[in-house]
Amino acid sequence: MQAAASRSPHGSARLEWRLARLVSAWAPMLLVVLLYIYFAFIARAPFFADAANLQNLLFQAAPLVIATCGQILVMTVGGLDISIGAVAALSSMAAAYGAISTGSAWGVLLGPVVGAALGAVNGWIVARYHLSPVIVTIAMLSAARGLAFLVTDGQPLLGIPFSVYWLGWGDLWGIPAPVILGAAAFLLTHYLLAHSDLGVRLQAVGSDEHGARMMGVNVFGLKVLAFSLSGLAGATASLVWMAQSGGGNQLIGSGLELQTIAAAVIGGASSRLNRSALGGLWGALVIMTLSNGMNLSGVQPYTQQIVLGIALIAALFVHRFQDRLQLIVRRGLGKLRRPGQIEHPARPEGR
Amino acid sequence: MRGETASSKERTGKEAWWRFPGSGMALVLIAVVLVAGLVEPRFLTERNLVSVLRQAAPLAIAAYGMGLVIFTGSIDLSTGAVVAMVSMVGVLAGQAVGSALAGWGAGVLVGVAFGIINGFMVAYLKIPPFIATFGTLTYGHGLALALGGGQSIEFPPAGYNLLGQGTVGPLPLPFVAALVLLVLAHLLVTRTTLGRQILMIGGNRRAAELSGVNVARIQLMAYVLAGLFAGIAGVILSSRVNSGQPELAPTLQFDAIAAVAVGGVSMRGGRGTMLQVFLGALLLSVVKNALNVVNVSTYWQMIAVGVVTIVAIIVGGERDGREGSRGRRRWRGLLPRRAAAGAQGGM
Repeated sequence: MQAAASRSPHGSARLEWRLARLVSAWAPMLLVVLLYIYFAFIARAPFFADAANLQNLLFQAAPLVIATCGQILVMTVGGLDISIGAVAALSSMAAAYGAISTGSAWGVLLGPVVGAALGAVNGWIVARYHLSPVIVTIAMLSAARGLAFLVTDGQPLLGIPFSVYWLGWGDLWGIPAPVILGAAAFLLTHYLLAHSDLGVRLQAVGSDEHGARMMGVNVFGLKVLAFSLSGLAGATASLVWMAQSGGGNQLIGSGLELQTIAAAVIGGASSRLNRSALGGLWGALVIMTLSNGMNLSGVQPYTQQIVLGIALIAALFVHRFQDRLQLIVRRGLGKLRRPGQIEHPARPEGR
Repeated sequence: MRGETASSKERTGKEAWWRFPGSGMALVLIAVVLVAGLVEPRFLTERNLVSVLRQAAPLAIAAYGMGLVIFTGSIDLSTGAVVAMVSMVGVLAGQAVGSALAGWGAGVLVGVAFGIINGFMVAYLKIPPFIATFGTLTYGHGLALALGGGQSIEFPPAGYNLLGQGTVGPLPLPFVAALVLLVLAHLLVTRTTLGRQILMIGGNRRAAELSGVNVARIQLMAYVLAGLFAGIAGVILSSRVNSGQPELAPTLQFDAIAAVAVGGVSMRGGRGTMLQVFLGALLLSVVKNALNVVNVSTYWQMIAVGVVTIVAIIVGGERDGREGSRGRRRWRGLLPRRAAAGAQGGM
């Protein structure tokens, strides 16, 4: 669509799309700022506005950003990964096992390998048998969580080498290690989705699978890739939590599927037009600011759960409305410019 | 297309009485019961079989509702939170009024209310069903916790436990309820306009719309019925433990989906019978109980549910009752190779 728009004499159409994309990627940022202002100055949550808490907030948000990147990649190919939390739990066990048995911090890499492999299994089943990603990943959730409990009979796997703790508590030139990992995951995903050919093909699979196949895109391979990257992201996030809690733990990542889906949806991933890593980053920050602010204001955890559930639905509703608005504006402008010509319904812009 | 290419034997031959959707599942069920009985004789004791039926009943009832939603091509991930809310409100209302009947009634109404909310979001606000019901799962669970301040609610009115713990002759009352509801749900699907339209919008939404079906209304009704069944299942579960529990059955939706999938119902909607759903729920409960009886850890049971679900949807999800699986049709030359790779909807 971008190619068509830029070739058309009406250059402003392209501008309009870019503007729309820009707005929807940055609107969640506005939400972060508003939430921050609310908790800091209106609700006056104790300690919320402290510099230490800001750092703490970034620290907490980093693993969620990593996992959200994976969820966004899966949503880009039109899927949904409900198993991301369970995969994170199982790969934290694998990472702890790898580190303990090799006695070196590099052993934790077994975790991401296991995560990517489980994700690939998800993607393979979804793509090979044309099944609903939700049901396949629900089944994977059950199996992976069960396996995580089974390997140590329900006990956490403790005793990881001391060097592994760096992943959770260490820092490089004053920047905490989780933040570095989060930033790296965000930059890689952003590059992949917004600046690479692979990203264009991923978006094509998500918006029109049949069309993409006709264009010679390897739909099967890309779906497997997206799901395995999601497993990888979940596993990488679990490394941080594993290092922070001192070992592999079966309860790591419980509720992660909800948090990542909510973050991705708040960041605009539910709409075909606006999937971007940037949106996911801001979405994750929205969720973390909300939960941090509510924690410090003394809101009960179950009330927080209610707020999160409603926020998820509200975000989807808003984005749906926004999508329609964009379409209406675009169709209206199209009719003004070329009377009698019918505009195609929304397709994602190439990049 | 399919009708034209199906072999003449299948089209004209009189169907054998045992070839109904779910007959294979019934055979598997009998085989599993026999094998489990051979491996562990304790499985076949009357006491254990009654307890299997008691456990299977709420799952089966929740699965009827899930089945109706899946027939329309949607999904409901909120069942676990809905039953928790049902049990909390049921006990609270029962205490307030002082009658068990009022508690049960309030519980069922809560289920219906959640069904209306889900259905409204999916059918009229056009929010994708996965995310809308996932949201309901979250805030519903939060509400259930908030109602009791994170605690369970004890001391329901006298007689509240009758529904879950009572018996009718040798059979547990919940199972009798599941059988009665099976008949009602079956009649709903096969004999009423609403039921046919539920299958119709799952089979081909566009065609249904063009032939004058009010798709949004039918979609809403499917969710309302799912809420009703979840409400009944919740009341039975709550009555069995004789209290209101915020963590009553947090993964009931996964088990219900698994039951529907294991029963061989197409996950894309438009095809399936209530008997299949019932047999799927029964099989799942039997397998879980058999694993329990032979002392396999709960962790293995979680894995088994996951693996069985995946295998069931791969093997049976696309089965067509008479025409065999897509792969088999392709093998018989009924489908061109590429057609099997047709585009499937996104999220």
